[in-house]
Amino acid sequence: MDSKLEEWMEKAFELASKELELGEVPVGCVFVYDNKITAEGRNSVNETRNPTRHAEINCIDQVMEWCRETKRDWRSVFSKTRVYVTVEPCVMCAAALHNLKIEQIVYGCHNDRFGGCGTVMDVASLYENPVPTISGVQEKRAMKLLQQFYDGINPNAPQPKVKKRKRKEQETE
Amino acid sequence: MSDTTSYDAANESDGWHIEAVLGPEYSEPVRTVDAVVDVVVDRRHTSRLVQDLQRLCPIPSLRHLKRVCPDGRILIQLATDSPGHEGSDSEKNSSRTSKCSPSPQECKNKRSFSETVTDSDSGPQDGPTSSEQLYSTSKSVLLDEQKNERALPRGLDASGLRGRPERCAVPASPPLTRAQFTHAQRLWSCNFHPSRAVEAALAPGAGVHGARRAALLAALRACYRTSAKSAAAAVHPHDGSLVALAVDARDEHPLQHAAMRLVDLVARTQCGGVWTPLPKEEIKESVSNACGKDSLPYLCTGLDVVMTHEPCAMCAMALTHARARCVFFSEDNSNCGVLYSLSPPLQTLPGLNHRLQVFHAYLPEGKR
Ligand SMILES: [Zn+2]
Ligand SMILES: [Zn+2]
Repeated sequence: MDSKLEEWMEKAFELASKELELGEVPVGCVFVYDNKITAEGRNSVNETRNPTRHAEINCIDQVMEWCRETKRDWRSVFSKTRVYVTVEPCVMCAAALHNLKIEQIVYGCHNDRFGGCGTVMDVASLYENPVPTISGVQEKRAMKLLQQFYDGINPNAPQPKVKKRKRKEQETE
Repeated sequence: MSDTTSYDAANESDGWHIEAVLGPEYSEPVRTVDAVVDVVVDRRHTSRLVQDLQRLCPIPSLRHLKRVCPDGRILIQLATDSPGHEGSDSEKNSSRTSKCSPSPQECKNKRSFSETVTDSDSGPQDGPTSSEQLYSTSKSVLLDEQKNERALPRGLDASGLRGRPERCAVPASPPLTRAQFTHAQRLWSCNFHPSRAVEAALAPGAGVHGARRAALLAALRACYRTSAKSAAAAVHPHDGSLVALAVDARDEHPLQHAAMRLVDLVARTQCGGVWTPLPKEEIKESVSNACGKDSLPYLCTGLDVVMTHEPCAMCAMALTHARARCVFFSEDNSNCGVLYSLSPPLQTLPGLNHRLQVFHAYLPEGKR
């Protein structure tokens, strides 16, 4: 059992809350290897104009970069990496994590629109040895963050840009 | 393997066979929903009755139906236990629609209904149907319990009506194919907006043809010319030009399958993108220079994506996020392909907010 699970999830929630304050999709994600955080991810779909730049994908890129800099073998790093994310990874991200043979996925609430850990599709069923997955960690807290985003509640923005928010809803998780 | 509609493509001089991989909802009978109808006995009142009814009880979920049939039957409202009744949002409502004489086979396929159907078909669609609702309660019982629905809407001047409303099964959603349209017409007078893509896919002897076919096959050849392990290209729907071509780099980077790189290259044409283009890759010159936000559709919206190989779940979902119009691939991938080799294929899953059209293109002799 992962004794620090709650601690890493807390870190993911901090990232998600920060995103909400910025008016961005409140999804936070951390990758942990050897008891250290190797990547902290946030959704960057809008600034990159690339709809695949979800938090998990950005984290994978960061770990790749870290492996290159520290001359580590990425395959062995990912196989000992645990992923903590506030929202169920989408079909794309779930498939990416299974492809990488990550050690474990931990997430908060379901992703009704794109969830790849059973909500829209059970991506694990496509794999012979799927990544063990823990769901529902602080589920209500994660859901509340998403709800606040979709309701347009932005603690730091007295004048929400309704148009912009609507577009983001369409383009992101 | 998924439902595939196959046609003899021998007429096409290029020799390719192109099959549309369609979801089962294209071949299934029309679903129905119960509505309350009456009969216009005095035709002089028809247009006034239609106008009054549109105003007093519009039926947003049945916009594909004519209010009056040529035989005089007139649509009053949805039956009170039907989805969409009294202005409920039919697109969100998990529906209570039933099929004409449901068979166990149809019930098994229930998961394949989806909200979004094709690019050009608009209008409301009902969501997934649950199996217990397919075998609906017998109609006579419902009629007994719902006697009050036999009343006409308050405020309606009933002149010209027979004044004896009845329950009637009408098509629940717009017909997707000509065959469904014919079937739907027998139930109720119906609008039909054929999707060119669907009709082309279903027409005998053609999956994709003409200039579009030539453009997609040219892009496929360009993909093969890279001699990369696999490659993908985005083709502009208007002129068939190549917007971007990407190669697979998964050995160096586990995310960089061809389709993932392609989505990033297309983002680059819109002043975005994260990864550096590789030597064998292409980005449409005029686009990358101008970086015009108006020159191309946002994301991959409306673009046709050509791939040497059937995409995996990560790539297929990336193209779904990017809202590509179609995926046109050559080699199927029984290990991890999800648009053809998986059953049911990803593009037919209910709940996805964008639906890819899928084409499988191959040469009968396996040559290229
Ligand atoms: Zn994702
Ligand atoms: Zn792939």
